[in-house]
Amino acid sequence: MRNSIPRHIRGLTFVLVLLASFSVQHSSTGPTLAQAPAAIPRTADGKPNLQGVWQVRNRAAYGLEDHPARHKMPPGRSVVEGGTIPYRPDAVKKREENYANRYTADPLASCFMPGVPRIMYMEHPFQIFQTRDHVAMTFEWSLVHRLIYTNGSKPHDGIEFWMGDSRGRWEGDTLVVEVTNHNDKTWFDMSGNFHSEALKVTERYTMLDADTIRYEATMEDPKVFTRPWKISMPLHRHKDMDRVLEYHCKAEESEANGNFERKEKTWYPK
Amino acid sequence: MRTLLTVSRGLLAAAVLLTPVSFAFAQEQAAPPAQGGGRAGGAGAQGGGGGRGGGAAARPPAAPIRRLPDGKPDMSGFYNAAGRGANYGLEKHERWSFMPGGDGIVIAPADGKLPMQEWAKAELKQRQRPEFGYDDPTAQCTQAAGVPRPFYVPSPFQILQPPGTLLVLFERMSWRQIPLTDRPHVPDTIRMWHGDSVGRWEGDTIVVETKNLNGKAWLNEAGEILSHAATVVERFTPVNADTIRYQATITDPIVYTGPWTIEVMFNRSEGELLEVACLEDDQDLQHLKDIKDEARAKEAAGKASPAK
Repeated sequence: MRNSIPRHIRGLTFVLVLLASFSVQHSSTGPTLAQAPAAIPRTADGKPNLQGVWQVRNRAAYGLEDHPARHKMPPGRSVVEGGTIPYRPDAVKKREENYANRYTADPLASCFMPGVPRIMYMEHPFQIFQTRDHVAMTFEWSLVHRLIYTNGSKPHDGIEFWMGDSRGRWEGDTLVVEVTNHNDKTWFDMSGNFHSEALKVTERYTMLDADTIRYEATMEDPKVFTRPWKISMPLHRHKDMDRVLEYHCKAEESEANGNFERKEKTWYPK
Repeated sequence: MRTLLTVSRGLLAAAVLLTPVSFAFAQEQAAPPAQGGGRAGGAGAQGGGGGRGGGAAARPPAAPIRRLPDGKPDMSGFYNAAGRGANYGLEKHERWSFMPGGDGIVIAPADGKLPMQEWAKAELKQRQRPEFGYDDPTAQCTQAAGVPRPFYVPSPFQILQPPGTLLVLFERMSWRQIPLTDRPHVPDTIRMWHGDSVGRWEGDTIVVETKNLNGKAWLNEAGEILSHAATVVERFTPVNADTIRYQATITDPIVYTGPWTIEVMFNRSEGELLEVACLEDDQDLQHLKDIKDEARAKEAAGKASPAK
């Protein structure tokens, strides 16, 4: 399973990456570019260093498309390339039903795992860690995590995940992650945008400067959409945080509902 | 719809799902003793240990500790803990009610008993009544099960060592991140299920101190107790290429009369981390809540009507 990419192809990739980095270095010193690329941090092996605490500053979690304000739903502009999601005609009705019933039908209303890409643009910070074989993400929201394999391994066969199965690779300075094995229960946002279990998400993480990552995700799901479509947004570094904290959706709800009875002896008194 | 894994939780969850619990425990019991491991050493390099992905047949003797380029031990990998029944009682215990027995993982004090204060003994008895099964936060699908509980439940985890950090991702969806720095803990008022951890190397051992716990987590399904005042000091020591000795010393002046220490072994296992969806797949949460509500209603009725 691991290192299943033939050695000569891996070697070729290395040479291509090397060439790419040379050409970038070359052109950045050339007279035709008005502006040199911003310096980005790098890991010991020369890859862009994505580590740190990150979060979007947009309203994509409420609606990927342009949307007006509604109850518990601030307004926002579209992050979808071209503005709208290309639903098949027979899928539009379900989206409308989802929207109408969103306060209860949204999986997040039950504190279910948000899936990918939704977890990436929620109003909660997350942290990225990198090793040679993995990129790991730890989320403030309910202590959900993602483990992205960058060791050439293949996705599991026939297992569905709420958070998908993530396999990544570096294309030059961009981390490209293919996320497959989704279930058909997660939504893209609070507006009821949805997909089937046939969804494939291709994410691209590119550092624009030391404190900004360009996040792109392309969605392919022929059961629901007429063509692939793409979202794009910056992730911003939290410079004042060296760890994410915890917001456990279900635990906070249980406590608010009185399902966890306060224990005077053991619970923190405030 | 394919359901990946179902987790059993709580006393009554165990009653409802007796078979999977027994199965998990049988796997734990099947783990052979360590060869030159710790005192309470688990399955050595044999894999298994009650989780998923271990238990390959005869393996060659374990290789020496793996090391990173900077010479520090490389403990990264996919592991199962040889929990030895600790999820149903940290002390040595017989099978009781629907709980499997266990060998006990307490290595200090020497008698293997938790030095509980008197109130805590009474509290523990109460927690073990059926209607309190619902009060175990993991029964309500708080998969962030506290510290150190995720390290002896029958569920695997992935250890990663990004620069300056020990990171653990648990298959029961939650994580621990441990910066290997001397930074202070977060402010006292910030309280978390997994607290705030700071670690350091002591030779080949990573020593971790955790504070800022919220005091809500139970130590296991038996209801053993930890409060917000606890300090947990964990030690991760590689024994060979495939085995980590894990110890946790707990100091909790609210619950115990003195510090105590547990020890389990982590065994490198075949496979990759999957995902346990607890809440999403829950079968018995409402059942546990019904029992709780019934007990509350009875209690309220008892108070409302005058004694005969």
